[in-house]
Amino acid sequence: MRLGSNFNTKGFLRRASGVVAAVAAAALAVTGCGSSSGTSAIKEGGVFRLGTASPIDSLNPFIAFQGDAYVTFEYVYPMLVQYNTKLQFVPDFARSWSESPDGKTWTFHTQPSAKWSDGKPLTAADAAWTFSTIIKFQKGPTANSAGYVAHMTSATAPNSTTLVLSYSRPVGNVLSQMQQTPILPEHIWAKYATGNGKALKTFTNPAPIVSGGPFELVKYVPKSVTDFKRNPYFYGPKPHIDGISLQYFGTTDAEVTALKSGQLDGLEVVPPTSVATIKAAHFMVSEGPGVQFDDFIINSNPKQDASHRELLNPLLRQAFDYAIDRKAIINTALLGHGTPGSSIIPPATGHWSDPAVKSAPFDLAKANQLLDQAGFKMGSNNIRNAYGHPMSYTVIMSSDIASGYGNRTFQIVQADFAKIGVKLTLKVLDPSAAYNVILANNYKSYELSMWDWYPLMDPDFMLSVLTCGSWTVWNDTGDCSKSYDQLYAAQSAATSTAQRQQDVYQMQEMIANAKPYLVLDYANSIEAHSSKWADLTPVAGFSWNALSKIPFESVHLAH
Amino acid sequence: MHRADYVIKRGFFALVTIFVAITINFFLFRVLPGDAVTNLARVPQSTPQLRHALIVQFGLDRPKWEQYFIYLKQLLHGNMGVSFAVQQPVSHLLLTDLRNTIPMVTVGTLAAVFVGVFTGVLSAWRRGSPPDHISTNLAIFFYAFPTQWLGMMLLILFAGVGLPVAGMVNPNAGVFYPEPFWQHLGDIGQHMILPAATLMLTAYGSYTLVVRSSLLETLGEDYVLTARAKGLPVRRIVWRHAVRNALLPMVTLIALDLGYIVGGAVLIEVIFSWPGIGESMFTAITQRDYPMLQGGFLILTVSVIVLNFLSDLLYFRLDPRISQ
Repeated sequence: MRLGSNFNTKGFLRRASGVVAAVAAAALAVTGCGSSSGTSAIKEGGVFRLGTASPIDSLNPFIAFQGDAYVTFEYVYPMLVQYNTKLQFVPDFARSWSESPDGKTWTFHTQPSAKWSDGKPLTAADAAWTFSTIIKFQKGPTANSAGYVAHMTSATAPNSTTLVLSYSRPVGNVLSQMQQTPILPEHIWAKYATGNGKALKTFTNPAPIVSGGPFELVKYVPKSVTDFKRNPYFYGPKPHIDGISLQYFGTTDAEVTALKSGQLDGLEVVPPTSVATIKAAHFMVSEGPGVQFDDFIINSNPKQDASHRELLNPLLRQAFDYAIDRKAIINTALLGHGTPGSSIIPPATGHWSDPAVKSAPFDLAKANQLLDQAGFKMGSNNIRNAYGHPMSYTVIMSSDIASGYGNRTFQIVQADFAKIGVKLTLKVLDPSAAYNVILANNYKSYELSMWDWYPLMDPDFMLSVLTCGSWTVWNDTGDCSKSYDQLYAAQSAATSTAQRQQDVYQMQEMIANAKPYLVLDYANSIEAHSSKWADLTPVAGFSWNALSKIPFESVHLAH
Repeated sequence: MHRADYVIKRGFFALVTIFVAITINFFLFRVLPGDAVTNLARVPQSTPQLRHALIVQFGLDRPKWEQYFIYLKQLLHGNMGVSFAVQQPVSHLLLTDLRNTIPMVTVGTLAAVFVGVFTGVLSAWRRGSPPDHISTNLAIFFYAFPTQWLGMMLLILFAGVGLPVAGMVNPNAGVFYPEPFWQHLGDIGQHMILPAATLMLTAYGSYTLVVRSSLLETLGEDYVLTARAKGLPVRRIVWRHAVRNALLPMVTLIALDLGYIVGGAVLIEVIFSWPGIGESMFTAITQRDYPMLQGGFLILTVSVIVLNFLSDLLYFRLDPRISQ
């Protein structure tokens, strides 16, 4: 469980961006009852009780790293832009925006007469203060938000509805960064941004939070409950519901039971194993292609230990790819709720995914032929030998995927690899320990690994993982090449979408050829809710996510 | 042995044990694979420099022995440090957790004691009868059940009849509708039923078996025979003479269990999403949040040692043979 949009722990990335990231809404399939309200009058009121398995760890954006904390910020704070159901950027606090011809200056025109929930004016000055503060303390207290202001040199508000962001060079993903940055009320936060700014991290931002989004956070019990009330001062479309009650569950079984017994109205995420049960209980289950992918990692450090240097052999990597039965993995480990994996930029992210990158067909004969061609002869014990040692490898797996999907997938891969003379042994570690084993000895020691990723909608982060600069932070392959890094820099500075897309495609093809990752599958995004609610419109496959305010602005009681 | 000598000796051993536990708690978590900044450094566009900055911020760049002495010094000043993950004082976080954990685990443990003593006495009193067989087998049955399985079964069975399956209170109480104080207490009580019942069912069996065994031994004593010979009613012999003496081993068992109360019941808290210290410790381990781990395990250690010390003192008072 690695990244995604928000950041920190792999754990976070797993849950958080799982929700954040996501799925093509256009392809979304809804089973169960219909949900459209049509032209009939919308019934106002009601509190939507939502179950989640991701606790909100902090209400301070400079500390939080759990996914639901970032969804909370989406609904509580203004963002300049948001995604719509077609995954296009649409206005949020910014009504319009423009980019200078050199790509170094972005101007946003914000909502006039907007107010915070305490009645104080919400203006472009709040946005300028937020970005300026992140820039000022980006090497310290605001480091977890530094990515939002990469290459930004200043943020100013020449008047109450104009925000000007200046960059030292063109940046290709400005709107994506703006979509993720919560704008904070300066009149609340300014006193913590003095001196060395350390107070920015010790401020708990307690409930009730002065909010600018469609909902005001009024109650927060850590690891338990968070309540949101409709914000009467919100500058955008007023929600139809009175509020949202978000309840944390330690286990998904308890969540599903609570939904079925009427203690909840919806589940943020439904595991594949619970889909049939929930459908049988007549709840609405929404399912669509997701951005989360599971991967098989091959140590790609060119200086890795001699005891497994054959892992760098391109024929071996091709053979491994042919030896993975992706259909069996999807049918067994995901119970059919997924599609075969190919590129590290999933098709559900839209036009950034290169359609030319295809997954290898399952072909053990071809895999054996490739290994024979590489000169790795079969030993008497049915294990091949490479450079004088048996092809026997340890696969590091993070415990967060092991209990469900991971173990089932490994069993399939292990059995097929045995048929090509490669022995795999599983070693499960918790996320922190697993990553440290991969990092150990500068990526020289580990052999193989299995994990998953939750990419963002914009490809920049996912592509950055394989750069040399990401070593010891996100890079879990040991891969590092100058030509790749140059392309990464080029795409991140591209001012034309077409040019950037070309660079992004080229990078995906480089990865597909080098095969540091063998993408196993894209798991579907699945959520559920009671039929007493209508028009809960998912964005990128999920309703409760950090991409948009639209889903809970539009939801309302069905009758 | 003189009472003062006994107290001093036991007190000294308790202090030494606490010091050793503090030292082990400090080093134990640091030898685990993984480290405290692996997760926290993972932000987009993160760099090795940020990772290093966090290491410096947390003081992890200093030698282990120096970190240890800083920790001891802070502890002597009553400072348990600041959580790496949420940047809040550990003492404040643990206090909040304890306020949630103690009522639930206390109710469950006391219920287990009462049920265990009652069924243990019943079994010994009716030894060999159907009630004895049923009681003993049920005790072994529940004692042998994995906590998580039993918890899930209760959750699934009773969710349908309206018992809350998660948290401590109704999520929207006090926000979307008013909730007076007594109603709030009732709400907490209702949420406590399933986790406390799970704890009670998994714990009472050991009390039953200990009480039964101890009481059977006591019922064979000469003074019980004498009481019978004097024609005292059986009920009075059992409850007023035999049970009082048979409960001595229960003092140690209960003291030990009460000590673990502050450790919470990790599995039960996870199953029922009870926001207590057990779940916090679980999260702190996965995050390698050393200050939280040290604080939590320190409280657990001290409470077990102090309650054992108190049970020793109680034993001294209850059993005159110790002082002879």
